[in-house]
Amino acid sequence: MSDNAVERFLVIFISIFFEALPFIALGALISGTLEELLPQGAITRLLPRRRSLAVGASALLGLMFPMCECGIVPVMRRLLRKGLPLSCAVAYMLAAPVINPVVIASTWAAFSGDRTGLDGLTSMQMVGWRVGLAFVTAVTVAHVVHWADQRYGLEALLLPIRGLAWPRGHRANENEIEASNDPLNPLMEKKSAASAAEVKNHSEETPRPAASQTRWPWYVRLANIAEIAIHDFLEITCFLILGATLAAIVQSADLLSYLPVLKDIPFLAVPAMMLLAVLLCLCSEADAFVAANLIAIPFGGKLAFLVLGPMLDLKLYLMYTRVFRPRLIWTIIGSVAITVGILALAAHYFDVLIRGSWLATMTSSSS
Amino acid sequence: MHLRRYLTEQLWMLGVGLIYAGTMLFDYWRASTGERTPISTVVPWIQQMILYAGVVLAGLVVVRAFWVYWTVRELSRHGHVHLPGHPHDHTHQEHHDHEGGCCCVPESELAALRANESELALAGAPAQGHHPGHHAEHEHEHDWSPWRFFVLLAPVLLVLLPLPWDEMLRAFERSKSRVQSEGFAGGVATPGDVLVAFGTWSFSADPLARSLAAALCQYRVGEEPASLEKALDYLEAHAEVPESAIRRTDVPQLEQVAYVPVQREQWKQFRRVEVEGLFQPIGRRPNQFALVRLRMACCANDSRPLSIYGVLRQPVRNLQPGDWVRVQGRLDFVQLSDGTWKAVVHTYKIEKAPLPPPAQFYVQ
Repeated sequence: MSDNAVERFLVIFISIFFEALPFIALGALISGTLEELLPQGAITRLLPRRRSLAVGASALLGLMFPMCECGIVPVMRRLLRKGLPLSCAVAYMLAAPVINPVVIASTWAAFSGDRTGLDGLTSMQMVGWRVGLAFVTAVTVAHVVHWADQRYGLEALLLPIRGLAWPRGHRANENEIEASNDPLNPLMEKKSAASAAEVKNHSEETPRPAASQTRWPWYVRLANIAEIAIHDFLEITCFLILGATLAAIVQSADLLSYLPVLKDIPFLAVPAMMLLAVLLCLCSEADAFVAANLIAIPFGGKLAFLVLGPMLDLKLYLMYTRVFRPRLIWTIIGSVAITVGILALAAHYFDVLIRGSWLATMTSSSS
Repeated sequence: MHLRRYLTEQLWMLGVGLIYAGTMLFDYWRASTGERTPISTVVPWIQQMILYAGVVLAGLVVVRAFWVYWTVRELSRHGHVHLPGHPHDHTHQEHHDHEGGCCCVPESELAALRANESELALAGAPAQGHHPGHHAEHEHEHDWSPWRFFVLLAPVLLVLLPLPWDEMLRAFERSKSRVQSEGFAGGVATPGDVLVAFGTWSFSADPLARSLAAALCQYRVGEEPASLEKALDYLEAHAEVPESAIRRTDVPQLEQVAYVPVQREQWKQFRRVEVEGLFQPIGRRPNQFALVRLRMACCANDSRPLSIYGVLRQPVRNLQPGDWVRVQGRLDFVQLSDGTWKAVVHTYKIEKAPLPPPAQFYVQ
């Protein structure tokens, strides 16, 4: 590696790191607050009873609780711990980095202005397609995850989630008991009445109310929030560092300079742009500005880049390893990639049918 | 969970948390003095968020450190933790007094710390309320892995080591601002160049001179410019152009203007425009160059070049790629081979200019 490559690596690494750091801190703070203050099962009670509706509603939660993809992992992990069904948590995790006001506004801004003679795309078009495809992808993958949950069980899909080291450590059983009363929670579907009673009996040996129902002094709650927040911040940051390192190594090759090769070949552009999104590790608030500048890339390629990037990249993969077991990670990766690929290609050809190819548009406007 | 291990983990966590908070605050402070540091790789609003994150993290660390200190002190004194004002809802295996309304954390919640009596003995506390069954249940929750803390310290080292961040960022920006272009059809160094013929022709009011200029541009060969061009350059470079006639603009605006036909016609009316940016030679034509600004949405990783072109009647001299320059000239627009339009400044004056402050270097 030449000196320049090392310098480039360091600058890209540190920029990804510092860009994500405050959002991880925010996510960790929300995570600690949720853990300490949110009553068990509260979110689940707010969701519709039907699973498909609950998954759909979870995919839209980002409109009320906007989070970027870096900060959402610790939050999602705590929501899982608070009884949110796995399928709903995955839907929220995948959709919220796209379907939130900040990203919608940035996508709108990136594609604003008269692009006649370029790719002919409009802000409304890109925002609509991006949000729509992200929603459909998140809901589809959530149902695949639900299927995996039914087939393999939660234990095979999720890593144990750390609770408070002090002064509360014995919370997992309470979660399970409360979750067992929730028809939406997959834990209930897996647990027989006998095993639920067993858990309950075991818990009764050391009766203790749920943390959020206990009236602990405010300073105890604050200390607990602090512990969870610091722990989650450091844990996720550690994997951010590894992901940013990989991304910086890959990007030292200046991938964007090879893109004109993909012009006019949607079948090649869509998977190539999906791969690029994984390697570049761009923030969902920034990726639209990069995509808007890739004039030569067909519409489907741009769309695949914008939908897949916030759901899957190198640093996110490493962050997922702190929550999910490999079986679930690869289930999510596979289903996200296939869904986005198919949808982006379908959207591309639909767009060509509706408004003619962008090349034709460009030619006619030039003449 | 062993008390010693618990304390070790807590101390590491608090220590690294504090180092992170300190690093964020320190780097923000350095950047606020105008120095280019690692934090300069993100946009100002994220820099502000880093400041707030540093403050919040420092606050959390202080709160947590105080709590850990207090609980360990209580544990070593009494063998349990008193929470003033909290209802006394547990049973002690050993009887002792709780004066002044003090209460304790329930025994079950102390189990994690009491799993190992010898560890408690180290802390000077008697063993009580031990629930052996809880030990195994708690084990899975505390994933103590010291290697993570060493990984976490890597970026901190990058920030604290005296690395030449200014030079590194300049090199990165130079490489990012490179324009992939073979230039455009035009330039005085090439005979038969219609664009430059138009440029020369455009600022003469005399129809004969305009025709001659166009003809000279068309038929001139070699590097030596024709005499009429020399004269025109001299006149234009030394012309007394009133300040009001100079339209100051920037690269992003001109890039936008180039997309819209109506605006292109309007902007051609300005006698002179002045614009600043990074100088980048393009193609093989020594008199053509790109004027580049980098747009950053969030961080240097997503930065991308915005550019316009410039054309001189002589080859560009004494400028290096990546130099910050100020250009004055007349605006025109050219359609490139891919169908896009680009602003071109027929340059009368190009000179090095001082770099803008770091906060204004990138376009957002």
